[in-house]
Amino acid sequence: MPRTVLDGIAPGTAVGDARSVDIDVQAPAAGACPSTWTIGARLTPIYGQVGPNTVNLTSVPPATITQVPGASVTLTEPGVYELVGDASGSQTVTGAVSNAQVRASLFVGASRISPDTTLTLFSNNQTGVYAMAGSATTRALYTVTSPTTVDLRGYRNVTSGTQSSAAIGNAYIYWKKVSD
Amino acid sequence: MTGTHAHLHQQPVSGEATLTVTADLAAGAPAYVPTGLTITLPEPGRYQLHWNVLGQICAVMPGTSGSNRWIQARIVNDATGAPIGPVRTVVQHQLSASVQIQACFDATAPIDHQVTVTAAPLTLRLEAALLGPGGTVQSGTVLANHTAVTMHKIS
Repeated sequence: MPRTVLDGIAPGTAVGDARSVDIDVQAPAAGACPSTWTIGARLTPIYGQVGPNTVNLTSVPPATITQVPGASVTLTEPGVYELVGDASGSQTVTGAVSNAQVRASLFVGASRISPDTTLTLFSNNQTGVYAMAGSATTRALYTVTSPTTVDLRGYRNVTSGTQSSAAIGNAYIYWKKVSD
Repeated sequence: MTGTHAHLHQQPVSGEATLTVTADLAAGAPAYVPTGLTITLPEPGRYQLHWNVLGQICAVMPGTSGSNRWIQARIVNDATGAPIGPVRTVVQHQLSASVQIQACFDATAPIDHQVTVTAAPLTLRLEAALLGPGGTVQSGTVLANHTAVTMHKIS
């Protein structure tokens, strides 16, 4: 009895329908026994994005990590994910100021999982009013074993002087699974 | 037949492009100006794009009134002009003091986004605008060589 044996790679850690590649097998007619099978594959990782979101930090004390409302994603499948957090930071300072800044990064619960990224930073020794804005990305490769929520958080800070307003705006999170 | 092996290689489409000529935003201000940087998504699917935009504003704040200028960047469908993805502030020149200040500010801003292509190919272009009043603008630009985009198909 002729037969065809199909050999694959050893099963990985995420066997099942949650795998991020779809295999297309072009089956012959029922009961046929061809010597050649045509097999293709397509990438089907899960992915998503959220934003834009904003938080006003003016009334939040310096160095107080604050979630950007709405900037939150849930990663449902086990695997490795690439996460990208983009945000703009803005601030106004009055007079001489040292290291007035706005920063942002990605968190799982209270744990920071990406670099504590500077969005804008300003020092100055002149009387006057100065507004600054800057944008930056904070990224992480993060391994998930059970459904996990990642959010974008940030804070303002100043070494000395008056930071009279601060905000994080236009905050987005993009993510995609990169490995099962 | 026995021992047939199947090998599947991940071969998603990817690409990159770099701005080669610095784009002047001041002449067209406050309108959006095509920077000259484009990228084409060649086939249907979902793509991840990373743009890095280096902007610069040089201006004089006279000391009698303030400056309030900023550069904003966006991505549009090159064929229709319709905006796609986020608008991002790149750099700001906002000073108010009783002495004249001449200053240039540079900053690089990311624009990351995902795009689903149904009618392929889809070409995207980077646009930027110099916005706001006040002060005397010396130049407002998106700088060549440091402004670039990468894309890859993710699904």
